Amino acid sequence: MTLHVHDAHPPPEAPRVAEAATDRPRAAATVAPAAGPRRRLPPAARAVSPLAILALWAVVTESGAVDPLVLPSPRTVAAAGWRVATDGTLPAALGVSLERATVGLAVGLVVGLAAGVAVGLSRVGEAVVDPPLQMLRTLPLLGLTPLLILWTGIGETPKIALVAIGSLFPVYLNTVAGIQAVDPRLLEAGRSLGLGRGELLRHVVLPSSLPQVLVGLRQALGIAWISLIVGEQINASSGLGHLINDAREYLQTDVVLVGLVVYALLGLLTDGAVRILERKALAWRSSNR
Amino acid sequence: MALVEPLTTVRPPSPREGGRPAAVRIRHLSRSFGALRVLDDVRLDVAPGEIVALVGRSGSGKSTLLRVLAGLDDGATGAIERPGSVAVAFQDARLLPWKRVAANVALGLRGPDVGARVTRVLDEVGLAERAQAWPLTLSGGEAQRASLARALAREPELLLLDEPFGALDALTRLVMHDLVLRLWERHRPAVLLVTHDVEEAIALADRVVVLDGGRLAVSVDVDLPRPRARTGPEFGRLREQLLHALGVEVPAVEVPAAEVPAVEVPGVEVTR
Repeated sequence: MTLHVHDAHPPPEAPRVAEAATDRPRAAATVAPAAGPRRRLPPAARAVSPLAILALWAVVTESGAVDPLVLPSPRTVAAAGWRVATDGTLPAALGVSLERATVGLAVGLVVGLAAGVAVGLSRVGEAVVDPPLQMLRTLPLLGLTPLLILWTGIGETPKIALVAIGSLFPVYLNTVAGIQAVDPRLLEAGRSLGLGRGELLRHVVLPSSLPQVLVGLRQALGIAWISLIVGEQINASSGLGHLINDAREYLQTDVVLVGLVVYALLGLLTDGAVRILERKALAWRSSNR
Repeated sequence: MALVEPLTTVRPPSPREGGRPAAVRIRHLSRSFGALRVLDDVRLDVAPGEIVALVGRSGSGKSTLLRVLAGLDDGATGAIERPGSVAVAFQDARLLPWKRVAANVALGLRGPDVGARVTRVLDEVGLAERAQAWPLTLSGGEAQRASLARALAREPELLLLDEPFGALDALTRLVMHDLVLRLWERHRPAVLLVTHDVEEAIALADRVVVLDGGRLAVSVDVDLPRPRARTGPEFGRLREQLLHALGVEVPAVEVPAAEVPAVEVPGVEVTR
């Protein structure tokens, strides 16, 4: 189970993201080569090593070889999970965190998309919008926290702002790259069909950059959760981060682990949601495989 | 002759208004890329319903001429008149891969009966059952049919074909030639076909024009009844004439007209 703590992006995800990032759709009528045939193991094979680790964890902790304050047993963590889930602390914290993530992500998405479209489509937009965004991007995101607190107080705003700023850049950068990778031959075909600027944008430019934008969305989700965790642990009186911090103060290692597992599950769930979205929105791409 | 006037594009008066019978009139058309003069004072007319094939080597300017006519190149000088409705079919079909075939054909169409027009034209090119397919699942020939359907759906008075069969295999190409002629007989647009395949040009066109170094070098009328067999003395004579104009000397096929071999492989590539 401890492994899951790092699992906001579990191993099977990493190669997929990389593949999606390099697999820009620029083919007009050319058929992208399908991945080479590779013998697949049954899906259950992937469960073997996590289960082994879980078993090892159980043996080591249940035998009393490890201080439960350092590492409680899986059973204890499960019980703590049940406790905080049923007494209402976890649902309340989860609700607050989800709201922050959603609002922050929405702001980051809208701003990132708008800036990306402006920069991708117009040279003036690129000259005006890109430099300040690139400057802001070089700042370490989490280093902004003290400034955000000074500016916006310790309420919801700094947490949401942190998520928004964090998720903005992947969306922005991928949108720009996606738009600039539009096949000029398809634009030409659109013009020859009498499409106006707005129609070219709607029928050619945006659908063509969608795969890249979705890659940005997935990266943004990962960063959004990280930003939220940091924001909530530095200064919060509610939310998952607060729950974890509180548990740390009272030496409830089991609750800390529960909080981390919940974070990991949230990461997995949102990533899965984007993958489903990708499969639906990019059906045209996979249909020939 | 160097005209440094920007390109003027006019729509010719329709015959009803008492205008001259020309779908396309090109005068003093020039286009340079830097120091390179790709089109040099070109003059060309295409009558309504006429098929003109434009042949030339790579870099002869034939594709540039087509792009100017399509309105895709605004760096040319001179004057052209062309109909209001122009459609292009490119060598790479250029279907939008994220739109199904029918949606690709419907692109840019206006009016109330778009769906019916799309269905009809897909039926005409024999793609009715592929209407809901994604473009990436089409074969090369099917993609070209879809591209032709997309061009024809706007009922163009001028159809520009930019080497539309260049990427197809020889057999598919022959089938597509038949299809284009059938469609042309039904819709009767003026057609400008850019190709580097001399046989294709002779098989399809009313007139074959050779472009060389940006200038119109030769214009040859093809006075053969359609459908045209690619054999026979007249076909061979035209081919030789055009190949000569293109600077290709075909070695010793000086066969007297009466002795043309009866068996000849159809669609043999001479110009590749």
